[in-house]
Order: sequence, then structure tokens, then C-alpha cells
Amino acid sequence: MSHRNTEDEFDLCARAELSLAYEPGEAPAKLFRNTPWLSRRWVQTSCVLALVASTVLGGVLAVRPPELVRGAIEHEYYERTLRGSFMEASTLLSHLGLESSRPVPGYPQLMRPCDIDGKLAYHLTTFFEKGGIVTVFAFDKPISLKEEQGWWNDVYWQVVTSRDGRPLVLISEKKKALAVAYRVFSLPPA
Amino acid sequence: MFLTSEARYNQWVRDHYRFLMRSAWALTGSRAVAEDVVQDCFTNAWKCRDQLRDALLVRPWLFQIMRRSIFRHLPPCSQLLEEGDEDRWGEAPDAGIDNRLDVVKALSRIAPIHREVLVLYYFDDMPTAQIAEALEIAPGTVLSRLARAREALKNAMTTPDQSPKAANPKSGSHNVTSIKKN
Repeated sequence: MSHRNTEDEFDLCARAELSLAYEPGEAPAKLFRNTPWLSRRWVQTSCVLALVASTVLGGVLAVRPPELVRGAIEHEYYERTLRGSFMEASTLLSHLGLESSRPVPGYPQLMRPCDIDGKLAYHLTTFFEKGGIVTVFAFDKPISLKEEQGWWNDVYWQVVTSRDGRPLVLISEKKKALAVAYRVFSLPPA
Repeated sequence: MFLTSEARYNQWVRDHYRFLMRSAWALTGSRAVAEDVVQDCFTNAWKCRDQLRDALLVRPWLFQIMRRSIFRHLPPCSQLLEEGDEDRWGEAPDAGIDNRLDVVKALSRIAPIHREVLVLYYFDDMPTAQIAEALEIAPGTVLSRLARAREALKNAMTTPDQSPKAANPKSGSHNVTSIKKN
């Protein structure tokens, strides 16, 4: 028993003295990790993602056509397979800026008045032998669209000024067809 | 609460630095070497933290890594352990106080395998099972080794300092058991 007590006492003393002798203090700063914000993986990943997202968004906004043209493209998509003549050819031709006494250019597929974004429009889908199917929209009321062209939603589009000075929206899946339509609807007759 | 990997590492350092530093210091006899060993130990341990089976055994596990780190990366340390160099052990901060000096010097003079078990027992008050885990020996061996280590420390404190170098430089490590690399 006495031996055990001596042992405990010795352990107690040794523990106390060694603890005081080997006092390490607090951990030095160099042991801790402190990665700068910009070097952190998630910050770098976020920056790259933000850059990619802004590039994509910027690209999309750059090629995005005016609202009216987007409406016309959507309208054309839903009526792509519709065929028929639902209005007088002469009326349509006059709205397109062409002589009402002449035949409708190409092989007409669809002629009808329609509504695009609350605006009355005249819709002509016709087939040009040397280009392909083209859809032309003329608007009843004056609208402000400047001449430009582009690609959106898998179709080519172009805003041209008709022979009587009103804007027309041309839409086609083939760029070549747009060139043919441009010659027919925009340029003055030779 | 969600902690980033960095924050968890820093918390780990805060939790175990004192234990590891004291142990490394007592085993190597040099504070500077101990600092290097501890830094190395934290780095290695963090890399393979997935290998830690039981969170309760983190200290024995860290001690194992630190022990290996002493041998693997700092070969001169093993020499320190074996030689019991008095000059180096004189680096203990409060060596001027007689009793403390006696214990520190006595600790330097006992066999490293005894020193290890005493370090774990005195510094961290580690249970036998954890000491066994840290030293990779059987729990029964821990008890017997602890008893012998205690006796050796007592003897080293009571017997006059007979520096192995002074007595016979060639037999310096004759009665000192080196720590075996596991």
C-alpha cells in the first residue's frame, strides 16, 4: 500500500515537473492554414463559372433579334406546316409593297392575316425554286424595325425595307432563300 | 456547424499541438527539431486522415505518425534519442530549477522505449489501451513497460550522472534500447 502511495506521489511530481519543463505554448501561426480568398478552389471555380455564364449570356444577347422578330419566328414555327389561302392575293401584295395586279412571287403555300404580339400582320409563306421556303411578314400599322439580319432558334431572319418603304420580316431555314426573297421584296424591279 | 477543410485542419492543430509538441520535444530533446517533426506530422496525418478508424484514437494515431516521422524524415533525431546528449537536453526551458532539471536529465538518460511510454503516460495521462495503440504493442506490455520505465526514471534521478561519453564513448548506447521502427 505504502509502495503504491509512493508510486502515485512520484508520478504526480514527475508529471508536474515535466509539464512545466516542456511547456510548448500555443501553436505557432505557421502551422495554421490560411489560404488567400483568390486561391481557394471554390472561389476560382465560381469565377470561371461566372465568366463562362456571362460570356454565354453576352453571346445570346448579342444575337437576340428584336421582340417583334422573335414573335414572328415563334409564329412561323407553329404555322410551318399550315397550307392555304385565307385572304385576297391582291390585298396581301399591296401590304408587301408589290403591285397588286402581279402574281404572288414563288409558289405560295400560305396567305393569311395573323396576330403577332398584338399587332395585325400579313403572313405569306412561299417557295422559291432557287432558294427554298420563305415566310414574309408585313405589318398593318407602322412599326420601327431597322434593317438587320441574324440567326435565332434555328432559322435565319432578316428585316428588309419593302418597295414602298415599310419594314418586312423574312424568315427561312436556308440563308440562300433569304437572299432570293430580299431580291424579290426589297430591291426595285430591274 | 459546417466547417471548411481548412478550418477543420486548424481546429485539429489547436486541439493536438500541445500534446504532440511536448511529446516530440521530450523524445527528440530539441525544441527546434520537435517543431519540424510536429509540422511534418500534421501535414502527413491530414493527408491520410481517412485512415483514422476511430475518432477517439486520434492522439495515439497522431503519436504513431509523429514517431515514424522522427525516423523517416529526421534521421539525426534517432541519434538524439539513442545518445541522450546532455547538451541538447539542456535546452529544456526551466532547466535551472534543480528538481525539474533532475527529471528532464533523468528522462534523457533512460531508454527511448521507456521514455516513450512515460511521455504518453505523464503528458497526456493516456489510458493503457490508447498507449498500446500509440506504441503498437499489447496492453499488458504497456503496464510492464510503464513499471520498468518508472523504475528506470527513479534510478536515473537518484544515481549520479555518468555520462556515457565521459565514461566510455564507444559504449554510449550500450545500455540504451533504441526505438524500433514499426
